Amino acid sequence: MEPIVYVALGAALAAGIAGAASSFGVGIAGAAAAGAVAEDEKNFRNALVLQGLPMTQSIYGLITLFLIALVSGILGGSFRFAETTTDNLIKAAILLGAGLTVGLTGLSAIPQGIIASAGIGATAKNPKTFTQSIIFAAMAETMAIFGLVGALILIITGVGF
Amino acid sequence: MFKPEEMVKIEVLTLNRYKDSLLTYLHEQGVLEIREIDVSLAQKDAPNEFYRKATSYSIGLSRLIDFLGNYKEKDETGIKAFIFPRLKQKKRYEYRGIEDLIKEIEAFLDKVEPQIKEVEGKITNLTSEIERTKTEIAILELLTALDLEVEYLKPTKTVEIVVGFVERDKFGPLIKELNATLQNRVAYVSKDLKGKYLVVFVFLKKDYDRANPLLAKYSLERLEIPEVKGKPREAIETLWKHIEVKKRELESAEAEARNLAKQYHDELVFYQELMENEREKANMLSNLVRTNMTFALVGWLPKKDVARITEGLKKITWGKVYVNTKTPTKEELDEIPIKLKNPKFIESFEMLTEMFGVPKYNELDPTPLLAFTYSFFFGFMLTDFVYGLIIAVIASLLIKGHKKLNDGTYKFSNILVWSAFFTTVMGVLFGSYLGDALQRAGLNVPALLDPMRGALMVLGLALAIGLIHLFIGYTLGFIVKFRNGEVKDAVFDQLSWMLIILGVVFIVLAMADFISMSLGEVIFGAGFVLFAISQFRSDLPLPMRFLMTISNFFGFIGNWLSYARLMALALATAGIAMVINIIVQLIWGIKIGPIPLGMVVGLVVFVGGHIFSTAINALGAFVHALRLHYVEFFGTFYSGEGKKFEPFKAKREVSKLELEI
Repeated sequence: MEPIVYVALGAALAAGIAGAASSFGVGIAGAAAAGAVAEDEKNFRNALVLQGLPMTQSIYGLITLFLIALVSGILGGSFRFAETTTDNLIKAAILLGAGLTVGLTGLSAIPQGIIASAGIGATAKNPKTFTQSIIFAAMAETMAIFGLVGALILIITGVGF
Repeated sequence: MFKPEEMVKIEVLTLNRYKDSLLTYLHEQGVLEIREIDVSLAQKDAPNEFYRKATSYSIGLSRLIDFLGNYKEKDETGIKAFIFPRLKQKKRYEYRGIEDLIKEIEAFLDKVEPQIKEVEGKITNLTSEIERTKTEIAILELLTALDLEVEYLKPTKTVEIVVGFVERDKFGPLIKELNATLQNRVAYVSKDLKGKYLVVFVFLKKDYDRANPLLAKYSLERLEIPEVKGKPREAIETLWKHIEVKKRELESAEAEARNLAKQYHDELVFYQELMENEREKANMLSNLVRTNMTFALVGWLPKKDVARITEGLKKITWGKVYVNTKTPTKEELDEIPIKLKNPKFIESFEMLTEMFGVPKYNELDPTPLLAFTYSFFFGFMLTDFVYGLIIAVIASLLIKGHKKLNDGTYKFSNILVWSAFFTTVMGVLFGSYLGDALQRAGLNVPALLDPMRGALMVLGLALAIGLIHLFIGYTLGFIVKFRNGEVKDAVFDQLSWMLIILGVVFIVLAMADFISMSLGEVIFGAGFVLFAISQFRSDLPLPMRFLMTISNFFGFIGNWLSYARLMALALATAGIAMVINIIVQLIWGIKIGPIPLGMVVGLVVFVGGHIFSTAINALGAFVHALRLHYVEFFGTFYSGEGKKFEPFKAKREVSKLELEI
């Protein structure tokens, strides 16, 4: 395959899968948030913060997309791996791997949304549990962070600017 | 610092007649935690008639406050009120014993309660009447389809009239069955309305018992015919006029309520607070014991307050009191309440420690350390000079506005200021000012390390910081356990890991050819052997001990690698900022004719984007810095199983009690 296919797939899967997962997560939490606000409007601020937590995965995906576009030269200039040489193929495949890592670990946004929605319910009942609820939800993000760490290392040291 | 406040146990014995003023004195001082006395000799104390009254008045007052609260002038809301909340005025009250207070409240309630109740009743009646009339109008609107005098639809002595809706497909069978059952002694008028039939059935009263089950069987939705005269349209008009009149009455009643709220709301809140505090005292009574003449209480209080409180107790009782204080013994370790003690500038971080749990009395208070590492981690993860400035400005404003309240917002803002300080420092080190905005604008920015290009270096830094952090944790745990005489635990649970970490460090140094490899290997080996022994000390079956050894060792590796999030979030900030800057760069040049549209839109995206980026990244940094402490760091040494100091303390927001001593 042409290197551009790998690179484009890598960028698309990173932002695409992570973004879709984030929207599921935000959706799940949002449904709970709507209920909590109906009970008492004062819950709005806390519910909003918790609902926003599963959004970070899509941001990691977006960063990866931009980084891939940047190191491969799609952004600002010409595509660096246009020729089908072995070296170019290897680098393009690395970018695909990096993108896929972020995309798949981004799936953690869905369980994070579930945790956040439970947290919204808990916070509505007892506002003092707010920070604890955030921490619980943040636990699920660890995997996405590990994915991002791996991908950043792959992109920056495996391909480089 | 590092040690909780020193506590002593206090025992007080005095005459019953001083109970009220003595409890009030302690309640206002708010430095003593009263504990239940376990003595079989004397009986437990119980609230008297006045305390019971206080409880019931407290509930009654809060009901009145709830009602008037709806008609009170609204407090200011919005950003200004959030940053600079208005301080509530504290009204003074001279306390002369609970009997006088109850009498005063009764006099006040006698005057105010009937007035409020009257207006409340008026408003409830009027609202429900308006609602009822509206339902009647809705029914009449349906009846307009028939254009019959409404009075005709009312049953008479011999004739029963039923009006209602029935599904279209059920109408035919219903009529058929009714005719059969009542031998055609039924008349009806029907009208097709919104896919259903509006039907008026007329039959003899004596047939009602036979007709009714049929109507129910075909699920007829009955309409209650309102008591009005004339055709529906005329009646609707009259009813609307009626509603207008009632609405005007309601308005005047509400004006009355607003008037009452203006006059009495604050006073009610004041008295309610007084009653609420009396109620708390009443609840505390069950912890005391008494005889016919005397009563006794025990509790804990900080050592520094002993002299002052003893003096106060003596004054209140004219010296007729027995006070005994003693320093806690080893057996009482689990009972001692924990009050954290730290210098003013890091006091706010106690909030974070307390959220996890306070230390035991013989353990170490991690707050001073946490204050430094928490803000540093926050700064490392946010890493931007301008973002740090934004947070610092907002937090400083909040500190200024909330200083007198000393509430959660104030403490939280103090934490943020420290965090923002490290954020700006790290931003300068990494050359990050709104991400790479300056670099993209063509400026040369000095930086020790570019987080994007030097990602591996940042990762190494993050992991090194993690290793140091964990090492500090294990060392602290070792010291605490060693001092408390749990030498075995200290060696196996903490020293093993300290050696493993040191071994890793020496091995890394050896790789860089600083020292010889064998030293690191020996230390690592010694640590690992200690660790393995510690795992085999448990009473699990042997194969499980093997598995636990492996799983716990990799658990440590996992904890360590978890610090990689420092790097990931630092780069995420840089990445999001870069994305915003790239987008702005792309649209900057767009022009439609002579209008520089790109600049306008670009500026909006630039400002909005970076504010969004600050918010989302600060949230991430806040959460993950906390998590690194709660999960990874505290896991190395901290139990958080202490009992928090909960003094017997009056809540005074709108009142100020003056007690004659």
